[in-house]
Amino acid sequence: MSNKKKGEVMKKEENKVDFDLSVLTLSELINLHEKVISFLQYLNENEIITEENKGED
Amino acid sequence: MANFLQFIEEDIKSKKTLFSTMPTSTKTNKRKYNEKISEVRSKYEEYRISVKKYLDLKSKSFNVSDKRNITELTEIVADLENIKFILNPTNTYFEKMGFETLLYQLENYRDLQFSSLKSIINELLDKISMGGYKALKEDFNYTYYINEFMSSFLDIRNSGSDNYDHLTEIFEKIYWENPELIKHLELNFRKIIRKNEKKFIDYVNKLQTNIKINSGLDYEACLDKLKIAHRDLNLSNQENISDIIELSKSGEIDINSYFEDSKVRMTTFSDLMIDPKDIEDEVKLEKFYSNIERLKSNADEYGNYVNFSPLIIDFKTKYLNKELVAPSKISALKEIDNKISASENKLTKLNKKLITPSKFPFLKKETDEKNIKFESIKLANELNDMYKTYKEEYFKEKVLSKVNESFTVTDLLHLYYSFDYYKKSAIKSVFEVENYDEIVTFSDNFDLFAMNPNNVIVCAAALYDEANIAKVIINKYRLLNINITDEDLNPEDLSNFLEKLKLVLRVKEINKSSLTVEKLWFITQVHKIDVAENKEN
Repeated sequence: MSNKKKGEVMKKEENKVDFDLSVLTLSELINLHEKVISFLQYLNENEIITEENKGED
Repeated sequence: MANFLQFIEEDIKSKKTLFSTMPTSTKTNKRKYNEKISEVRSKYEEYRISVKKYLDLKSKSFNVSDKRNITELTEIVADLENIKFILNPTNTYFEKMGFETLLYQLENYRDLQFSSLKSIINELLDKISMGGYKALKEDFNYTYYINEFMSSFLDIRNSGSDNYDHLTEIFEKIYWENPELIKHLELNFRKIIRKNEKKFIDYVNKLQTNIKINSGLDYEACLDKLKIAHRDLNLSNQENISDIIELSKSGEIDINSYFEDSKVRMTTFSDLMIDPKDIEDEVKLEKFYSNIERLKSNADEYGNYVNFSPLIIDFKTKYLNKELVAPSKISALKEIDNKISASENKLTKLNKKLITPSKFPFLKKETDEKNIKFESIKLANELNDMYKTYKEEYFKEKVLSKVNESFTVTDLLHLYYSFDYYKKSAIKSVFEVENYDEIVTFSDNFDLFAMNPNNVIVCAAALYDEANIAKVIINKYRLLNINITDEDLNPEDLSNFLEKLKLVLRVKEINKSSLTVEKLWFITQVHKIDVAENKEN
């Protein structure tokens, strides 16, 4: 699947999502935040260090 | 429709799959891979900001404002404490005017800085002047050195300057010639105070009359009012929901232990009940809470009692022996007072030769001067020993005379509260504390305990018997279905037991409030996120 197509699917998926955070319980909210933070950490750790982006940080 | 959490869980899963399948062998692959990572990261950064914003708002919406206003109550208690202090029939002008506290500081000068010495001297001079006597240079005639030091001190003080820098040099110079300078200064102040005793007694009498007129209270009425004011202040100071929020945020308590299904909470409740079925009955539970509240207050008081019991036992061992407080000994104070006066007169005459300028200075011999200085210091040191006896006799006459057969722990607390000098001396010797600040902290804590008119155990229980006091508490609360044992009140285990009582009372406080344990947990988690974010930034 091309990247473009993947993006379209994601948008479609997002349309099916209820973004209203008030429907979540308090523990779900904290869980949500933890998941986002831990995924951001995963993304940082999985970025490939190349000659171009070496030393960017 | 999936909620946002479900979406995120699935989205993360699919993104991770995507990243694990993306080719990364070539430079272009790597670039594309990183671009994708970057794109997803931007999206998740947006999510993070939105979610955090929502968490903050939600946490803020749970905020409970602390409506307590203890300032007014604290002021009322402080005013009444001041009235009690002045009207206290147990001590004399010497304690009421604070001379004993300041002289104790002088006596323990070795722990202080020169700036502290300056303050003590100024405070003593202020108090002497408040009592109606203005101390002059010629009053400081204990030794030649005292006169030299205090003349300069008074010059600076009277000039209105606060610059004592020059005096530090004089102090250092004299100190090497006469290291007992501070000791002699203490004695010199004692002499001035004793000489003007009548003025100070009149001053305190006048103060007492004014206080009675202005407050409309006598000593007994003041104690009654103070009891109510203390009770009100204690009630207001009790841990409330705002305190619990802060304790949880700071990590001093683990809020997870407060959930209804927490093992810690369940066992704490059931361990404290002889019949644990009571927890299901609302009326019985209310009664349980109120008994725990009283038990907590008794256990706190018992904890204080245990902390200070060495002081109480020491007093009992030393002084609750009638032979030591024989009435014939009482006149000894007057006797030593006369001896001191005679020696001080002799000292004054001796020092006059050094201090008063001679009409014929050329006739003054250096060896004579040296001899007089030596004699004067020798006599001052002898007077120091006499004052030691004086302090002992003062203690016997003014303090021990209050001790009788029905002397209780409360009486002893009041006695030490009334005689700061002897309380601090006892603390120093019993607890082997040398550091002055530590002694003061100990003494302040003792006063807080001794001053509390709502102490009940120390008033009711048998004298000087820790085991008996513990037994009285245990028996009382076991009758009320509280499962309290000897071990709980062991001095080493008492703080753990108090923590259990606090947990129960916090649960009660949470149930009473607009919050739930879950909301408290949430507030705490959001606070932790804030702390972590601040650390990163």
